[in-house]
Amino acid sequence: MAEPLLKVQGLVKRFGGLVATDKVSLDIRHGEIHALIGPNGAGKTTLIAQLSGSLASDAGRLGFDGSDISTLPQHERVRRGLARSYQITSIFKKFSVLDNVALAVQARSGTSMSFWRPLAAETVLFEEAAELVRRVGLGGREHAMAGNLAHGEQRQLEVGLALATQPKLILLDEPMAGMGPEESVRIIELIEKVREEVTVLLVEHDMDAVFRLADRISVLVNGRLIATGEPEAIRVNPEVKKAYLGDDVSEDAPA
Amino acid sequence: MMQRAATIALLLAAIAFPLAMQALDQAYYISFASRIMIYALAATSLNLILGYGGMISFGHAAFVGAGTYVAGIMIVEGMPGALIGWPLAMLLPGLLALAIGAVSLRTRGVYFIMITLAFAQMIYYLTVSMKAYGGEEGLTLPGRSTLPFVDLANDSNFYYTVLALLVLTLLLLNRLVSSRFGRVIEAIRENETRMEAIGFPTQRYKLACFVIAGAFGGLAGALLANHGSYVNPSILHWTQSGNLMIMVILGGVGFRYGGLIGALTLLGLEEFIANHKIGWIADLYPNYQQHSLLGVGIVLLVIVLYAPQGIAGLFLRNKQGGGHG
Repeated sequence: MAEPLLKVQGLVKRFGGLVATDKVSLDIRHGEIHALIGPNGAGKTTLIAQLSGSLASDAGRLGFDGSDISTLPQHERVRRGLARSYQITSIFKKFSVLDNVALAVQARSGTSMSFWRPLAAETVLFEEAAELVRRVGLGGREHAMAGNLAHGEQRQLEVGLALATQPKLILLDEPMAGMGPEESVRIIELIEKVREEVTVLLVEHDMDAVFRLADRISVLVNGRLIATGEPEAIRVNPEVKKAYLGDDVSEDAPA
Repeated sequence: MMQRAATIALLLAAIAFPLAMQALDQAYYISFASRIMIYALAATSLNLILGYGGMISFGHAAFVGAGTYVAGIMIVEGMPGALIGWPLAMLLPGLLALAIGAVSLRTRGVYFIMITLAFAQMIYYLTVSMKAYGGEEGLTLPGRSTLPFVDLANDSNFYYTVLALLVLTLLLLNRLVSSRFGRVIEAIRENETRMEAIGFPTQRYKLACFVIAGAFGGLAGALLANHGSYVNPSILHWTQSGNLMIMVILGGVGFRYGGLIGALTLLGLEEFIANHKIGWIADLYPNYQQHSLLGVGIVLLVIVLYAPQGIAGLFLRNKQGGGHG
C-alpha cells in the first residue's frame, strides 16, 4: 500500500476538561474523497482546524505528502498543498469575486513584499484568477462584489478560494451548509470535477451527498473516530447506527 | 482627471504660499504651515496602519518622539548633517516599531490598543529619565539640521524641504497602497483568518506595515524637532498619540489624503479659535479662547456623528454624486 497523502496519528485537542479531539488516527489516500461525518458537536470542525493548522494540537503527529507538518503554521501548510474551506462563509466581502480569487493566486506566486509595482499591472495573475472563477461556476460574476453574491454563489466562492491555492488535499467543511437542493447539486458537481486533481476530505451533514461522493467514510463521535470504511460498510456498522440513532434502534441505516 | 487637476492646483498653491505670506508680511504662517505639513506626515504614517491595516495603534507618538530625539541628539552632539541624521531618525524608530510590533501584533482589538499605549508610555518615561538629554525639560537645539546647498535656518527653505518630503512620502505610500503589499494589508484588515488560510503569513505583513509607519513617523519627528529647534518628552505623551488619531479620524480613516486633511483641519481649527476672537461667543463665554480643545471636541463629535468616514469621505461621496469618475 502506498504512503497515504495525509497521515494523522494520535491527534488530541483539549479545551479545559473537554476532550474535543480524542487520539484521532486517520489516513487519507491519494485521490480519494474521504467523508468525515458525525453528529453535531462531534468535533469535526475542531479536527479540520487542527489539520489546517489554525488550531494547535495538544498531542499527535501529522504527516503530509511525505513530511512531518505537525509544527508548521497554517500558511506553510497551505504552501505545501493543504487548504481548507469554511463552514461559515469566510470571503473578502468588500472585494470583487475576481479580486478574491486573485488574492489566493497571489499568495502562491512569488513574494508579496513588493511595494512599488502596481498589482493591477500583473495581468497573468488576474487571467489565472479569471480562469479559476469560471471553473467554480462563477463566470460572468467576476466584477460583482463578493458580499453582494447570493448565498449559494458565496459558497461556490468559498470553495473556489481554497481551490485557487492549488491544493493537493482540500478540507471542505460543510461546503453545502445552508444551501437548497439545487444549489447543493452545483457544489457536488464541482467536487466531482476537481477530484481528478485534488484529494478531498469532506465534512458534510447531507448524507445523500456523502454517500454519492465518498470513496471512504470516517465517523467521529465525541471526538473519537469510531469507524472508517467504505460507504456500504459504514451504512451497516452497528456502532455508527447507535451513535446516530440512539441505543434502542437496531434497524435502519443512518442514511 | 479632475482629481489630478485638483492635486496640481493644490501643489502650486503650496509652492506659492511662502511667497504670498512674505509679500503680505505674515511670515509666521510659513512656519505654521510647516507645522501642519509635519503633522500631516505623522498622521499619514499612522493612517497606513490604522486606516489601511486596521491596526488601531494608540502609541504612534512613540515613533514620532523617537524621531525627534534621534534628530535632536544628532544636532546636539555636533552631527547636524540631515543626510545622515534624518535617515537615522527613520531607521531607529523603524527598529523600535519592529520590536514593539513583534510583541503587540500578537494581540487584537482593545488589547492591541492598550499594549501599544503601554509601550509608548514606556518610551515616554524613558525620555523623561534621560538626564543627559534634559530629562523632563528636554533639549533646546543650537540650530537646525544642515543640508548641502539649502540653508534650513531660513523658514521658507525649511517649508519647501518639508513640502518636498511630504509630497514624496504621499507618492511613496500611494504607490505602496496599490502594490501587492498594499493589497495584502487591505485584505488582512478585511479578513485576516482567511488570509492565513490561503497561505499568507499575515503577522509578517502586518509587522512590515507597522515598521514602515514607524519609520515615516520618525521622519515627521525629525522635522518636528527641527521646526521648533526643541525636543522634549511632551511630544511622546499619550495625548499626542490621541491627537494623531483624531487627525486621522477627522480627515478620513483609510483615505489617501486623510492624514493631510485631518492635520490641516485640527491645527487650523485650534489656531483659529485661539487667535480669532468671535464677538458673540466671547460675549457669552469670555474665556472660550483658552479652551480651544472644547471647540475641537465639538467639531470631532459632529464629524463622527454625521460623517463617519471623515472629511475625505464626504468629499469623495459628493464628487461621485456630481458625476465624477
